[in-house]
Amino acid sequence: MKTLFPIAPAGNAKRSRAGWTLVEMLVALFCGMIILASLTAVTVFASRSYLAIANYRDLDNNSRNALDVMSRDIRSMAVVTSYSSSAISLSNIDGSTVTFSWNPAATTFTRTYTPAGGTATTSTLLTNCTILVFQVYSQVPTNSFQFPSTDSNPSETKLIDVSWRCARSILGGAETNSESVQTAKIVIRNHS
Amino acid sequence: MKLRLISEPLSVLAAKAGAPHLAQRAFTLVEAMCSAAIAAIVLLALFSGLNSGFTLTQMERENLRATQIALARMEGLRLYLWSSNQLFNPQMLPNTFTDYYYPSGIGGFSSNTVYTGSVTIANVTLKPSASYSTNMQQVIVKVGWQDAFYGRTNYHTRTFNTYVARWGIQNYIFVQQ
Repeated sequence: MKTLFPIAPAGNAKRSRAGWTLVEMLVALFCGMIILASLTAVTVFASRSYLAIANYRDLDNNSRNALDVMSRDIRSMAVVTSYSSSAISLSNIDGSTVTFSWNPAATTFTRTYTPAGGTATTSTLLTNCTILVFQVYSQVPTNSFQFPSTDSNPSETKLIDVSWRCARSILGGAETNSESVQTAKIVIRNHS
Repeated sequence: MKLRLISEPLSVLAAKAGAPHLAQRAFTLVEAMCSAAIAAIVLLALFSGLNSGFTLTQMERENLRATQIALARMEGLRLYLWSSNQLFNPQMLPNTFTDYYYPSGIGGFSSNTVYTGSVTIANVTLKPSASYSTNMQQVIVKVGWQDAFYGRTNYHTRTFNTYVARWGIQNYIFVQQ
């Protein structure tokens, strides 16, 4: 067997005290750096991947929960009392009210429920909500599955369309791998 | 490479330190190549595993959007009256439609999966037969899309089925007859 870089001539009496040459040291350092760099790259990539998938699972969980809560509330309500593209308020026959509101600065989406004659409770349904849009429509369909908008007279609303997108960025990178997009149409089913 | 058993006292080994066999041992080319190959296989497996996980997640997200799109169609259908002007009018309830991964309200993103959908309204055959079956219609909403994972074009579809009753919820909601 021969080594690539003979340390000392074979049979040299001072063999046991020989060190590494500069070239050997440089080559070893270079190899070590390459190995460390690739290990770091793999670790960062793997961490990002797991974080992205965990984030997505979390965001999707919240989105589904928010939609379930909204659907239950809106379906049982009677009339829309106020509307904007980021907030909507409804009231029921018994006087209870519910307001859903998106705060663009805080990127949160909240629900405020006030039972008849009771006190209001507010809960946060979504965080990291980068955009949310409400649209309201009346009951009679027109051409091609379109419904007339009731922006100017919200009390005529029977159909509420909501879309949102929640996203988080990972270690300052792109958000695309941990985002949750949700859309839904909800029909108000109660009437006075 | 020869393996050699060390069974001598350290002092003896030290005395033999000058011997070329022990002092100049290093990795052979075959050893180095084997270890490099193993490392390559391990890294490749790790990357492809992660990549596959991402692909599956992305496919599931598109799948989830498809259910949302089909469900929105179904929910809108609740407002349609049982009449030749609405439910049975293809102008009002088109047989085909198009939607996107990023809906119109929150658009502006680069890669946007296109969903093409169809709505079919058919007569109902009940088993055992029932006299009210003529007052029911079956509605089938089908959403299809395609993606390009794993180096090929994959086609996906999701189908929702429901029944619409002539004296159904839309009459309760609107009292407009």
